[in-house]
Order: sequence, then structure tokens, then C-alpha cells
Amino acid sequence: MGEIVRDDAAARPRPGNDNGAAQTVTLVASGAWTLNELPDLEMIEAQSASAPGRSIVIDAAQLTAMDTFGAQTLVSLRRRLRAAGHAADIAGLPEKHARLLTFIGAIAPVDPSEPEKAYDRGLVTRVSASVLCGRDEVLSLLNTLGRLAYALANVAVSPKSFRVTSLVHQLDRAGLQAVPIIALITLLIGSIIAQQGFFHFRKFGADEYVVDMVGILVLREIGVLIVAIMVAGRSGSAYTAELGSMKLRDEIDSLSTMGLDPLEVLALPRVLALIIALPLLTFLGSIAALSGGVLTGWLYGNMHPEVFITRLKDAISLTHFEVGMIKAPFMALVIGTVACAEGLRASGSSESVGRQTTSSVVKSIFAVIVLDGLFAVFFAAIGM
Amino acid sequence: MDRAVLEVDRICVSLGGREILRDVSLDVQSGEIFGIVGGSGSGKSVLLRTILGLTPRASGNIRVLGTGIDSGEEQWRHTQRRMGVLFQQGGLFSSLSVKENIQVPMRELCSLPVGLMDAMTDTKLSMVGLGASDASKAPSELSGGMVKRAALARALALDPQIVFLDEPTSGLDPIASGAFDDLILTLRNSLGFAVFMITHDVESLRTVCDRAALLAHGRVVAIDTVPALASSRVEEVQSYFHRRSKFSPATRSIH
Repeated sequence: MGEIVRDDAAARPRPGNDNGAAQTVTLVASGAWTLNELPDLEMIEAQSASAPGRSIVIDAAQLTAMDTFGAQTLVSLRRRLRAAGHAADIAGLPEKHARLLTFIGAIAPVDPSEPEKAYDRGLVTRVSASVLCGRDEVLSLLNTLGRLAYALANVAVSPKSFRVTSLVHQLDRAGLQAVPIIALITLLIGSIIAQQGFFHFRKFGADEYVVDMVGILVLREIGVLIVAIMVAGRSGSAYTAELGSMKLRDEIDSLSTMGLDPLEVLALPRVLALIIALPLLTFLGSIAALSGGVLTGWLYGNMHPEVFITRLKDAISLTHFEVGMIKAPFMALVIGTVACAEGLRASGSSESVGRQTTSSVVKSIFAVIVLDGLFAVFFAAIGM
Repeated sequence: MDRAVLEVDRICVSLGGREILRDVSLDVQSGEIFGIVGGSGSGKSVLLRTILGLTPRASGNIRVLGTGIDSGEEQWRHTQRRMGVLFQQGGLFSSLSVKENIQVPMRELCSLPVGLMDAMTDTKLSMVGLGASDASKAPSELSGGMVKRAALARALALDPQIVFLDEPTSGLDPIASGAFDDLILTLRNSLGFAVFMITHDVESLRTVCDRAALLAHGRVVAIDTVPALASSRVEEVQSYFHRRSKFSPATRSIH
């Protein structure tokens, strides 16, 4: 354990000076001055700082070991004593330690007043930064959408350049592999809606209207919305993470330098796959939700499936089905574009991939709901 | 100076059913800079990973700073704290600044006052030739050479007794790689640690290393001081040194 003590016995008046205050103080450093065994300097500094103008010698002859931490501590002690107005010096250091001390001592201390990177920003700065950031994000989304349209136009002009294999692969991942979970979730949601309907409508003797509610709600809103949200969480996040890590590993830049458009190669098949898969999944999801309704009616609502289906035929029209299905490809476009744009915005650290993935899912779900609202207004206006 | 800080005794490593290292033995003495050279696929990186305990070995013994790699997790962890490793890509934590990267081992493994930790970070940064302005930068904002320097500063954070360098000068231009060689020499001379380095760079080998081993097909072909290796008559060694030094100034001056 490293130690430093004030050697009072060695305290003596400076030769040729009668003034007792200006005497030489010896601080004896001993032991191992290494990491984890550093001496506590606070005490000794407090003692030495009592009367400025003294001549202080740090006697280091008894040091048994010293590493850069010990050397730094010794150098800082000397520097601080000198700053406090003492004439401080280190003496008697063994040769091998002296070399290290010179090496460390030669490194100039960093000015502590140098400002750190401005982490502590004011509220106004933070708000304005986030507003600007929001603007950038909207612009980058529009930019991606434009570039995707351009890539689509390119593909339309020369269909040979379209990557059919990639599209099929993405259709398998985002469409086919999603079927079981989407069918299960929508079936459950359909059942729950029907159960709630039967439970509350029964009080008014309006059991049969549950079928109308389930039919219209599922076909117009719930089917497409639940499926879109699930696809955003399942496939959108995967797209962002994939593209983000490709960006970090310079794979996107490699494509660009080969003269290929990364959006055409990577994003277009993914977005198109979503545009094809989402309506199909919506159709499947709606059927599953209606089946859930039928099942609940049969098991819980004392309504035979035949009665349910006959009633359903009267309650819904093709329009309700169309309203749901028309929305699906637009939601797919939004989810795909947001996912790809966020993925391509990843930079620097692996943390940013995580951040962009979160942001991709949050933004696409938000956008899907906003879009649904806009469609509701639109369909109401045209009487659908 | 003749205390072995690293002893590798007849280790064999197989990966995926293929034998990568066969009966590799070598030792690194205290304060020595030891180089490992060899062509691509000769097993250099696997040797380093095996010594670090990252790749399991089939047989043989490894002792670092007197501790066997099998001598229990607690003891090995303690030894690991006295080792510094510079990976080929630096291995800096991308979500932390350079300063935070250097402070990770100090913060996690010791209890140091914040003031000393800051001072030591600046010292380590200056030691590797980086400025205080680089401290707050993210690793992604650094050039290749600066990443290596920052990673070296982190490897040196706790004053290791042995430093492992995996191709420290790869990807650097000749001037930067020369500067890096000088830096390693200067630091070794002032801090006295031992260095185990893998390198492709014959020039760097000649400048920095005291001794070196040539690895070929997973075996140590030759192990000697660098001048002795350069004048060795072993075919593999000759072809390695000859092929790589064809364009060196010494050869050119003969014409």
C-alpha cells in the first residue's frame, strides 16, 4: 500500500534564513504507488497548504513500485503544491521510476476549463433541435418515397432489372410466414369484439346487431388496422434493422459505388412485397376475425353459425369489404417507406440501429393510424 | 528481464473438424516485444484468440503472467485485468465517446476518484498521441489510425504487464504505421510492458520486435531474434522475408 507522511523530524530552518515559517518540509512517500494502492493525498495536501511559500521536498527514495497511476498522482501532487505557492520538488526517486515520472510529467495537463461537448443544452435549444429534426425526418421520408417512385419507374422501363427472386423471398418472409400469427391474433380479436357485443347488447335485447357490429367493424377498420400494426412490428422493424446494419458495414455504400441504386436493389422489393402481402393478409385477417365472431356467437351468444352468417350477409355489403381492402396497399407503402428510410438513416454506432428500429415501428404505427383517419374522412365524403 | 510473462506449451486447436494449430509452443519474456508473422490462414489470429481464452483448444497449456488459463475463472479474470488487448478493428464501444471508452476498465474494475480518472484519461490519450479534443468524439468520427490509437489507449488504461496487438498497423499508411511502431517502442521503453503482436508488416517487424515466430500451416516454423530470422536458411522463412522485402530500400540499393 502506498503511503505519504509528513516527516516532522526532518523539518528544519532553511540555512541562512532565520525566518521559521520558510522552512523545508519533507513528505516521505513509501510503499507501492500503483493502481488500487494509491495513497490518500487529501490529508497531506491539507497540511501542506496551511502556510504557502514553503519549500517542500517529496522524498520518494522508499517507493517500492510505481505505475502510471502512481506517477500521475505524484506529478499532480507536485503540480498542485506548486499552484498553491510552494516550491515543491521530488527527490531520491529510483532510476527506473524517474524515467516514468519524466515521461508522465512531460505530458501537459489539460486545461480543466476547456468546455465539454455541450450536453447540457437549454430547453429552447432542445425544442428547436427536435423541431428541426422532425422536419429532417419528414423530408427524408419524402425523399425516400420519391427515390422509390423513381426506382419503380426505372424498373417499369426495363423490367429485366427487377429482382423477382428478392421479391419472392420477401413475400415469403413478410407474407407467408406471417400467416399463422396474424390469423391467430385476428381470430382472438374478432372473438373478443363479439363477446363484448353479446355481453352488452343482450341488456337491450339487441343480440342480432352484434353481427352487424362485428361485420362492419372488422371489414372496414379492425381487420386492416390490426394487420397493418402487426406487419409494422414484425416486418417493418426487420427491414430497418437489416438495412441499418448493412449501412454500418458499408454494404449500402458498396452497392452505390458499383453503380447500383440501393433503394432499387434493397428497398423496392421489400416495399413491393409489403404492398402485395398486406392486402392478402388483411383479407385473411378479416376472415379469421369474422370466424372468431361466428365461434363466439355459437359458443357464448347462443347464435347458430348459420343464423350468424345469414345475418352477416344482410348486414354487410361489398362496399365495407372494399373500404378495408383499398386502405391496405397504402398502409403497406407507408410502413415499407418508413422502415427503409429509417434503416438508411442509421449511422455510427450499433446503438443507432436499435434507435432507428424503435423509431421505425413507432412512426409507422402512428402513420398507419393517421392514414386510417384520413381515409375515414375521405370515405365519409364520397359516401362509401 | 528474463521472466516469462507468456508461456504457450504445445497447444493444438481444431475448428470445425479442421486442425488449425498443431503443437505451437512459444514464450514471451518480460519487457520483450514478440512478433508473430505468417501468411493469411496460417493460424495467427486463432493463436491470439486461443491465448486470450476466446477460442477453446484441444490440448496444451497456456500461462499468462504465471497464471494458467485453466486455473479457475476468478484467478483468470484477475490476470485478464493485467492484460491489454488491441483488436484489429479496435473494438471500441461505438455508443461511447473515446474518453468513456478509456474509462470503462477504470470505472468497472477499480474504484478511482473521478479527478484522477479524468487526469489518467488525458494522460493515456497524450501517451498515444491523441489530443484532448478527441476525447469527446465518438469512435465513428475518428480516422482508422486514430481508432487504433484510441483502442491502444484503452488497452493501456490499467497499466497492463502484457499487451496483445492484432495487426496494429494494418490499414494504416506507411507514415502512420511507422509512427505507430515508434509509439509502441516508446511506450514499451517507458512503461516496460511486454508486447505480443501479430503483424503482416515485415518493416514493422524489423523496427519493433525483439524476437519473432513464423507460423505456417498452423505450426511454428522458426522462432528467433528478428535479424537471425532474416538470415535464416529455413525455406519458409527465406521465402517470407525475401518475398516481402523485394521492394525494400536495402534490396533496391544493390542495383
